[in-house]
Amino acid sequence: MLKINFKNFLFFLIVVLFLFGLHFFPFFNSWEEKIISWVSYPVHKTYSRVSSWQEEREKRKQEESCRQEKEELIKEKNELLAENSKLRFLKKENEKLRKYLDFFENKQNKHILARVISQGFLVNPEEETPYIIINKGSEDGVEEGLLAVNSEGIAVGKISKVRGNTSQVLVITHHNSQLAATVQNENETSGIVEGDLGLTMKMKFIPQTEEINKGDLITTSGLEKNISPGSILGRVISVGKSSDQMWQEAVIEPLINFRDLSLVAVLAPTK
Amino acid sequence: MYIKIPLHILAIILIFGLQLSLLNPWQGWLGSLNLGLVFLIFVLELNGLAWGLGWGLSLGFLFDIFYFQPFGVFLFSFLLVVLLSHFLLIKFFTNRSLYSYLVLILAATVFFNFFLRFLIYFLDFYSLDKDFFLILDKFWISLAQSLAVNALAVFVSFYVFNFLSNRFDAVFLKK
Repeated sequence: MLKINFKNFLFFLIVVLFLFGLHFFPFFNSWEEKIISWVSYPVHKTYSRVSSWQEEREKRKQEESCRQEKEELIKEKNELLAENSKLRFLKKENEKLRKYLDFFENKQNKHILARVISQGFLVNPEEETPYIIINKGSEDGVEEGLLAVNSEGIAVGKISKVRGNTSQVLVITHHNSQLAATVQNENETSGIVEGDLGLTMKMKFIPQTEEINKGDLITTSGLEKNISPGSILGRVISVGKSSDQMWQEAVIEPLINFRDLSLVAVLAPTK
Repeated sequence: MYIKIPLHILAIILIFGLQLSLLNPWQGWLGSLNLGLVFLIFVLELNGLAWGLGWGLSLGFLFDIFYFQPFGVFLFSFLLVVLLSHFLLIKFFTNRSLYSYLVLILAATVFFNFFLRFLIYFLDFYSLDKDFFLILDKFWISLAQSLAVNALAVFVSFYVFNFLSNRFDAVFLKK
């Protein structure tokens, strides 16, 4: 026989309503932040350990494919050496021109270093990482729309939600992620890069006249508010081009494994 | 009773921490384990509805303040799972055996995944999926994985618990 103790039920209902009420009071928000702060340090420590285990496992897997890639790379290296000498010459020329014209003011990006507290989600372990939660928030100067990068300056994602001392980074491959980007080709083609199925990205509406090749690097264009140019988003892996279409489309693969991240830098806007 | 409360709070925080740091970053089978749910059903069977609701409330609250989903999605999902599991436990199971525990965890996993996905889909702009989750293959694959791993965890934890303590032999029937 199903017996419901209405006194208990009423008690729990009041507690739930009480929590809801308190959640929207600023005073209680600071307590919520404190709870998360207490928990976040051991959580980050364990997370880092797990992350390094995973990294090791991935490394072993990659060793095999690396051997195959090695031969291709040796060939590519020789080609690049030739290109490199050409670029060195251009670099020297460029430096001279900058000096003379005072063309470029080198502004160092201010950055906020943050620890990854957690990633993944409770109900979708098969999916690629949709969000990353970091231990810096509005109190540290993090704002919505800023770009988070890894230690090599490769884009991880955009800050999508901010609290006092934590923030959520929406990774660049998430279907809601959109970033103004430039292809590092001759014409520096600009466009919008969108996340695609949580695995890759797509750059759509590229005019047929633009020359985009497999392997081209895609970087942020700097046309977006608070996002500086030059952060790498990924590399073109295929280009969808057909003569009966008005536009072409490039599929881009990210250059980082989001699961290996334990630290990120949030790039503050240059003022 | 009052000595048990801090121990339960400690256990809830520990499980919450383990879920976030140890399980969620893993892709695949290990990442499918919902430790909170496994222990929630365990507590519901052992200690009754009031403790189950307390666990649901605490776990839901912690996940709600940690994640950036609209406040209350975890709270409601956990509480609904507790109420539905309690209903099943009282109405359909005559004893508290391994089999009832297994069936309950399977039902709770299905309820939890449905409730949470449903609430997130309708309340959160930055929802996990662009399309409705029921038509996505990955939802059903991840649900199947979650069912298998949670059931395995229940199986193991049941025997470990009975091995370590015989306090509940009268309550938990082995067969």
